[in-house]
Amino acid sequence: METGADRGGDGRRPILELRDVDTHYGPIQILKDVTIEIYPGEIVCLLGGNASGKTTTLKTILGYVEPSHGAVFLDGEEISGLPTQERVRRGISMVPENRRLFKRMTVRENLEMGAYLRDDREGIEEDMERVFELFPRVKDRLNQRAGTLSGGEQQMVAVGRALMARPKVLLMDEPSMGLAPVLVAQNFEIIEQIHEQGTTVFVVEQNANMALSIADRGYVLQTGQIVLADTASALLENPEMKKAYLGELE
Amino acid sequence: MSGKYVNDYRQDLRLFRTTPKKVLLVVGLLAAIALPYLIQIQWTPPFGFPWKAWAKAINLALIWSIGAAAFNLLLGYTGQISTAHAAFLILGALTGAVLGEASAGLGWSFWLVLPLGGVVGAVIGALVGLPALRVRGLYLFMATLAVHFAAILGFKMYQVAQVGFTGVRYFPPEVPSFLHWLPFVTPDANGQFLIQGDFRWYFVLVPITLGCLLFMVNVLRSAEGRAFVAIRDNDVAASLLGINVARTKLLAFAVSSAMVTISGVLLSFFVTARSDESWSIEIILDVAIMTVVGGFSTIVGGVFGAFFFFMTPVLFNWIRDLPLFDRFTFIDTYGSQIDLAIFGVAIVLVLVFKPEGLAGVWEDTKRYFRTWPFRY
Repeated sequence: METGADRGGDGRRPILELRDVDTHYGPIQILKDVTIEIYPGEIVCLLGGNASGKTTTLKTILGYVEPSHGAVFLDGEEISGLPTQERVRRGISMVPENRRLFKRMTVRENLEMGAYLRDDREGIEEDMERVFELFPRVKDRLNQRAGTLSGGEQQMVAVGRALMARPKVLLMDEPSMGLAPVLVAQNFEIIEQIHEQGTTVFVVEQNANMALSIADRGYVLQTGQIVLADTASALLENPEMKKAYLGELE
Repeated sequence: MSGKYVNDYRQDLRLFRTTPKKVLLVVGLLAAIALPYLIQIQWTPPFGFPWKAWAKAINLALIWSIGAAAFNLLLGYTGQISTAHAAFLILGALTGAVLGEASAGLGWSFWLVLPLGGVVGAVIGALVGLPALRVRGLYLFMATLAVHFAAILGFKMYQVAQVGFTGVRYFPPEVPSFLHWLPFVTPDANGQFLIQGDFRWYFVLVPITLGCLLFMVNVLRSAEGRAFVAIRDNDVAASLLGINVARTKLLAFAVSSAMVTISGVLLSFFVTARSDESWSIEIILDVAIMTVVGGFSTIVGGVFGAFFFFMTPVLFNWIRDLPLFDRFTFIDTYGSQIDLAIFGVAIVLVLVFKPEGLAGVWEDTKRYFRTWPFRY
């Protein structure tokens, strides 16, 4: 098996890497030669407008679609070709767009579902406590059905559920989607919080300003190609970026 | 809230948690043992209340409890609608006819054929579940409908080739010899230990039904059971958490089908004769009635539903011969249609007033007594 190369000169190895990935739906090519590297402890964001290939990138990482060329590596091991559940087992977890909680299960059951692939009971209870520390409000609602929670609380449960898998890297699909502006801000606070606890986060977002304000680095995707890749602060200053995504008028 | 708190997982996992529940369990078991003896008593209740007629209805309800609960496991818990339900009853009947002591069967023991039926059902069930990986909802409903007619055809082909148009006869199974020492196991007039008649069948059906129901309850309590519910509520999220959606769906189909097939074996040996005309598409409606009236998404709901389904006609049969009612001849003429109408009305009433079904009524009753005499 091919292993991921050391990049960046300081001997660090990406925790998640897409290398030269092409993805097709039938004859239509969606991703063209996409390379993304995410290093341990980073928050990396992937920006792009509608139909730029953001969701397909996530699907490729998770194995809902397979790249027609190139490969996906997790912690140096190739994971493309593996079924989704195996990738989850190896440490990829995702907070899906619109949260997608199990609405008829209680909050506790939702969190327990996050640990579906684990059987270390003590570790699970430990992580449950960690989630409670992170989101004390979740603990108050433990025996309530998830569908009865407010949008913000549901987001906390969704993040908590993803963390229960003890992921090496957490994927967030459009965390600002369908939420009130105040909740969007709260959401990004949540991301920062879990990042401070040492989780590597990969955020896929349309809201470029918000995402870049918390990210270390960012990639910009346009019609399936990475057109910009830089540190977040550089991207915020990039004139092209300002024009295309940040809505600044000249 | 029951006011009983649990402190560790072991307590949390108990099926019968509280002392009253354990007492209820013992009382229930004793009542279950006493019931057929009560029904056997020779007496004529006032107004000709049907006494003997219960025996057959109860036995049928026991058999169909398994099927209704299995339907609930698949539809209520996993969210997969399958019209192949009756097909597995047919599969059970066919397994019994080919392997068991039936008209042209191989004559294998009933006690071997019964679990074999479960195995056959699980394998075929997983195959029938394959469309569920691609389609859902109404499309799955249509895709599985074909299985029903394929199963009828299969039964008919076997019947025509091996037995003839009269249909397959099933011979009464025997009590296994290692159980003959039990005090209540007595030989019949011919010195044989044959299981026939409602009284004897009852004691065979109760443990088998309870075993099947407990099996399903425990499957649903396991991680796999939680995965069933996760797939029903949100299959995308389920797969993101590492649930193998395809495998889990097939597992639900296999478990449910195995149970229905076992009930199909029981049914055919209990009613002793089956033909290709014994299986109408209405069976799936009957099971749906049991599931909805009994209580959606609960195993015990299937049991309540089955008992409601088989006992209501007996009651109605009695009512229409009562003085006053017997003047309306149309009641007699359209008896079975009125039965259906009763079911229809019952479903509407349940959906409007108690969507949790009879199982929900049962929960309410328990809650009432738990807090009696205080209400809140």
